[in-house]
Amino acid sequence: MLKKIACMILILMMVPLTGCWNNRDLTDLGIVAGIGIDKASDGNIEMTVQILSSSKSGGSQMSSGSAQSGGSTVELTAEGATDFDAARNLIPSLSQKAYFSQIQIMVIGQDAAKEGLDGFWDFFERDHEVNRLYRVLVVKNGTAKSVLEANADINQIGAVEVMDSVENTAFGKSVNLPAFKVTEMLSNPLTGLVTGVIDPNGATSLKDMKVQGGAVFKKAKLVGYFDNDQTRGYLFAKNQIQSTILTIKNPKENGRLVSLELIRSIGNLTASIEDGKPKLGIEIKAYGNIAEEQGGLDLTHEKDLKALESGANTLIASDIKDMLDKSQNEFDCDVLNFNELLDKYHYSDFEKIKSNWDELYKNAEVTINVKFLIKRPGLVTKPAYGE
Amino acid sequence: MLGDFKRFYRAMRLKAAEGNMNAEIESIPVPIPQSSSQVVEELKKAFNGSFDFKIMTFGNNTVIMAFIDGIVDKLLISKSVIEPINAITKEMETDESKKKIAFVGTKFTSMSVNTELTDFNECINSILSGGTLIFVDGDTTALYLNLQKFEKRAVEESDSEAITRGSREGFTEVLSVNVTMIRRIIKDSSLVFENMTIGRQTKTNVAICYMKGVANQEIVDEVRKRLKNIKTEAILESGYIEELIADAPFSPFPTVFNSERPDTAAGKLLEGRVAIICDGTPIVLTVPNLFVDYLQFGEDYNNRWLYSVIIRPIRLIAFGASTMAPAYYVAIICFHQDIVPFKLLVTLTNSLQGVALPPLIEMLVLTILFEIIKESGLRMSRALGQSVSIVGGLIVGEAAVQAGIFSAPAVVVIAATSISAFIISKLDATVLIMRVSLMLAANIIGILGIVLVSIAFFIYVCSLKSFGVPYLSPITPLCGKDMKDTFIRMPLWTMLQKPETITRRYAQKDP
Repeated sequence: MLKKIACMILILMMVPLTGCWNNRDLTDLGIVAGIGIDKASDGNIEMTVQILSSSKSGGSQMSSGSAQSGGSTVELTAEGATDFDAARNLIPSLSQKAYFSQIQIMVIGQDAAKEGLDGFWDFFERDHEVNRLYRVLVVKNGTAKSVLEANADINQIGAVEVMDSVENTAFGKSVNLPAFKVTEMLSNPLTGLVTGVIDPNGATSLKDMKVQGGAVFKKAKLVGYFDNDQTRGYLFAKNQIQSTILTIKNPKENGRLVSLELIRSIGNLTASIEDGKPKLGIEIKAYGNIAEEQGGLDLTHEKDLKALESGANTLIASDIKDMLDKSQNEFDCDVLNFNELLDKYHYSDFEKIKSNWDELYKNAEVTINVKFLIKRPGLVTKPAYGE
Repeated sequence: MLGDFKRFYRAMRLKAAEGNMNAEIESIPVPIPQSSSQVVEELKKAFNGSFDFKIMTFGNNTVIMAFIDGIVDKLLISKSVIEPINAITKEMETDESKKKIAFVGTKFTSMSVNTELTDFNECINSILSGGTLIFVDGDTTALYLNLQKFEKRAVEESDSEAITRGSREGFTEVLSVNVTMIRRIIKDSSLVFENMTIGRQTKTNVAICYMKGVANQEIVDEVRKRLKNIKTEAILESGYIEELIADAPFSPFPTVFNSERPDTAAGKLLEGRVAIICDGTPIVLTVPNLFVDYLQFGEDYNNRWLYSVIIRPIRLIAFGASTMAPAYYVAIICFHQDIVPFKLLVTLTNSLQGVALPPLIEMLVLTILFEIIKESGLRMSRALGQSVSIVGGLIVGEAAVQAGIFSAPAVVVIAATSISAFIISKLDATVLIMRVSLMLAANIIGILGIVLVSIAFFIYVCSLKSFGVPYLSPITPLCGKDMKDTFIRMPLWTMLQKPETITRRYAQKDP
């Protein structure tokens, strides 16, 4: 009896005496909010991390009345031959262990992006601690370091501020791309990758940096950028657009404009092969409200509504066309992922032309079919100052 | 391992029972002495000259009356006993044939309870429980008159189970009053009260109460058997009985339910449970006791059902929070920083900065501190109440956080935990044990530990039985019909039939 109890106690002691594996107090972690990748001068990787540094010392914060939800950050930079090397080289300048599970954004300097994602992407895919939901952005004409070290104005944490503006979909002209999608798209060499873009424009403050447009990667290397409208076309075609404002000409009065607010859009891609040539199609069905009207258009007339709708159709189609032209002629890159559609539904035909896909895509004919429908004209039929 | 404990426990119980056997000889009847002067002597000896024991003699020791001052109705004795006896003493002394207890008895036929006793020990016992005994010189029988009267508390509202809608009555300390309270609610002849006396020295009156035809007869027999097997000197409160008849004496989960409210007790009786009422305490026990008992309150049925539908899950959540919240806090701070939303994590990091104690120690110390505050609130005199709340609330709550000894989130977690635990206050010891063990597990392997310990607890609770009824029924074993009154309360018109959980027979596997 006593022996058994003693045995039991010994067995139970094994549990606490092994120590608490991976038991790390929150305060011992340097929580990385944003990560930046740049190309160092000698071909190394330069990693910049934005780490939360708490604004409080010795628990005296309570006395000041309210607990701040924000906090200041510290940016550290280290070089290394690989990511992991660079991450370890951070240690000498950091009292805490860098903790990668809560990364909000990854910014990639233009030079590093041109060099290719394949140089560093694997670490963030392989490591168990890194989350997969951070947004990926390319710094247009700049370095990642400059973005992370920029002053945050609204949120106190720069990475969160950038993340919030990426997540704000009402603009409709920026790409919101989480990391796991990047991996997904990198796995197909025929597909182009379009990530978000942050444009520092030489500013030192985040409020002057614009998150807009898209960066196009071909075979994991940066080849160029979409401008805002092209990005919108891309989002329409990819069925990723949530909301945007379409400004078109007033069909009756010259020089006057009408703004339509997109409330819902369904984008659909079609692809088939005829005579060894791909036939591609984009169909958009969109719904919107009239948000603003200049001039005295009476919106109770169906004819006028139809005119507005066709105006919107043209606008969306031209955005998509621009984007396609750029991807076909400049980038030679199938950003909309038509090849996967063919691979899925026309496998045997596609196998024959697969090796030549880039060339075929470049010359492929794409039919664009947009149907915009105005749902609500708003609270008034025509402006108060109309005739 | 557990088997060893059980064997050890049984051996201890057997030993205790043997020890008691030797003391159980008292029940051999002792005749009442013939001569009244001898009776007086014996009585005085039995009561060791206590001043509250009174003997009155009439005539030349012809009639003796014995009672204990303070638990009898003196007015009634002087009017209806002393006067008639005085009147007949002369007659008895002259007429030898009338010098019999039977003759005295004829004068008291109108009395509520009068019985003739022949056992001297029984005489002493009945004097002790408030009887008035009359002995006649030369007769070996005694007349027992029940003229019991003592000071008692009036029927008051129960403090521990206050409700907003429903009867305000709470049980009192007097068994007979408690019995009538239940009787007044259930006016049915199938409601049975059985009387028995437990405790060699306290001789506490205990009543078993059940609905014949509703309650499972096996459970009633089991209750009777267990109560009869109690060999103890004192029963001061129903808690003594609870501990002596409970199924799993080492279990952190109580397997006997208690209530201070007649309507709750009546509700349990109507469901087929058995109530055990103990003299001297307003706490009435009911068995079998299931886990769902702690989620159900009488008020659930008094209020509109939609309210009860909402409040039952909230109680369950409170139970979960009071057991698991500190464990999850420890696990999140020490292991799973990645599952916290980023902005919350920033807040947490900020408020944890500068706190030296690791989260587990913080939680343990705060839990103990809270228990101390609670205990001191219970033990001290009411007048000191304010100082406890000042010391507890201000010093521990605010000053400690400001000084950076404890972090604010930790205090919030413990406060929420403790508040939740009040909802199911009858389980507070259970909850405390679960809370601490989950906390320790969380500190070792994080949420995995919480899951493992929860599973262990669940398996253990599944194995528990209260008087043959599985503790987790109707959840497991599943009884679909009774689920109507478990996590939610369905409207009363859907629950017209009595629940089956208590009354149905379970396969008996345990020895």
